[in-house]
Amino acid sequence: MKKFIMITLIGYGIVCLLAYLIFAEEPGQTIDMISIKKDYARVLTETETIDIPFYITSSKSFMTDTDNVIDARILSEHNEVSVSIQAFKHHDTQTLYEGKTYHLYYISLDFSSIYTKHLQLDFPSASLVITYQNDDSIELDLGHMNILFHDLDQANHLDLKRMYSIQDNDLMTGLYLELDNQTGQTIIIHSIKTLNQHMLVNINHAREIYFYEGYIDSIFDVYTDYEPIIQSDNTTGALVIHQDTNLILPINYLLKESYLNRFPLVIEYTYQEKHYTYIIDDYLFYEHISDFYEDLHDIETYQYHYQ
Amino acid sequence: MKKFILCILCLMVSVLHITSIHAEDYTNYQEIIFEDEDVILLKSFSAEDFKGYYKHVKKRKMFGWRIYVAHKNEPLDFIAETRLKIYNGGMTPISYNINLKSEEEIRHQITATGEIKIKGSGSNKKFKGSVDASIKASITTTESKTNEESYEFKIEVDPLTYVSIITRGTGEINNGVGAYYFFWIRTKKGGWETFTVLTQYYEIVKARF
Repeated sequence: MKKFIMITLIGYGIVCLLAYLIFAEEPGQTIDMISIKKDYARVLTETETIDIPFYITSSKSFMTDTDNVIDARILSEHNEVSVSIQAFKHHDTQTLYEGKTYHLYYISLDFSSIYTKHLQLDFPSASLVITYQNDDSIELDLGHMNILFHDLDQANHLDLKRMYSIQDNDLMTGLYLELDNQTGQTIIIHSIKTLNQHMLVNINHAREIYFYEGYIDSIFDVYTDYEPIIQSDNTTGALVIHQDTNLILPINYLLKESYLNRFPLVIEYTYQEKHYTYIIDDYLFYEHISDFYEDLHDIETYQYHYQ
Repeated sequence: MKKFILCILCLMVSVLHITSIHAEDYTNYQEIIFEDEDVILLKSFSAEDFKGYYKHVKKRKMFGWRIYVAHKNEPLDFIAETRLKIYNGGMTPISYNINLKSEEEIRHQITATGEIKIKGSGSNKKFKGSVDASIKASITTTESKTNEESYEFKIEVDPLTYVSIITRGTGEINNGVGAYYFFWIRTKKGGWETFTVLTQYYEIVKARF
């Protein structure tokens, strides 16, 4: 009887082992990744980082471990800078895309090693190249990246009083901006830049209003002939500010639309014939709750094959 | 047999108590404007509205919930409360780093009335029991993903000046009523509502006190 039980158990064990060998899933041989091409326009202090969204099918792999990174750099056609990856921040979000489940990470890029005050770096169609200890690299498309290294100073002549964005069909079409002229004298604004070359604050078509407590819901309430896309940059000029001013500033897009939702305002002005710059830090004007499904940004997919 | 019926009746009485509205953040927003003027919030349902909606869930069933969706994926605009207010009461300017992050509990909110209850807290709030799945099966909520990029906004604030950030946004609402049947007897009924934020706009105001 004992013999029979023993033989049965051994037979059962063999059958289980064979079944496991035949049916067990092979360990993943590929990792799929997604990057989102969105524009970045930031004013960075030395300690600030930029977070890049990054989707990956493996929740635990060497690719999201900073210890395995030996080099990271941002490249565009003519520029290249070395950055360090401060962290791969895992976010508790899983996204199903084309039948595969992706885990969301944010890659925190630290620029402190190259930080130079007042330096502006422009990377049109930038990509982030990460090289790992095994000498494999991944190149992620980021979109346009514009960075200004600057510690924000105290406002001397102009100061911000109220600011919000005006939206039409998900596109930022204007800015409502209340400025405090602290000089009591005339200030001439020559340009208001967002750092992004496609998204232009049009001061030539600025409209001043005297008292407005409510919200402007649509740029078409103010400019019936507003056209978002322009073919050439004619957005700079001379906007005279005599006192505290409430401005409606249309936003135009050079050649193509941009869904930049966070950017600084770099205001170039003259006061008593001297030139000054007033910088409002990059401000999050609006936030779509989903930036993956809204199709406002292009996504790029990648595949890594284990050797 | 009498004892059994008595027990059943006691159980039914114990589940028929009425509870008040579970107030959620969005119900306290300054303003919610629906694209369709006929849409109303659950808290604005009148006794007549409830009476009309309950007619849609009166068909008896052996077990489970009957759900009626009164307003489905109705788009809306809202003005929320002030998200942040910082006051510099000192004598010198102060540089503030404002960190703004949308919390999951603001993105998805729910309320219930009557015998429909809510369990959990924060982002884990759900309708209690099987009604949660029944409601989810009746509506299609817009997919919503959290964006948690680090966000720092540096601003100088003069003495006796405050900075505040006010949120506005767009979203959608689903609401209706539900009734629970146990051996073809209605044992629970109540109203439910889901509120989903789709876009948030941040307005900044700096003013002297």
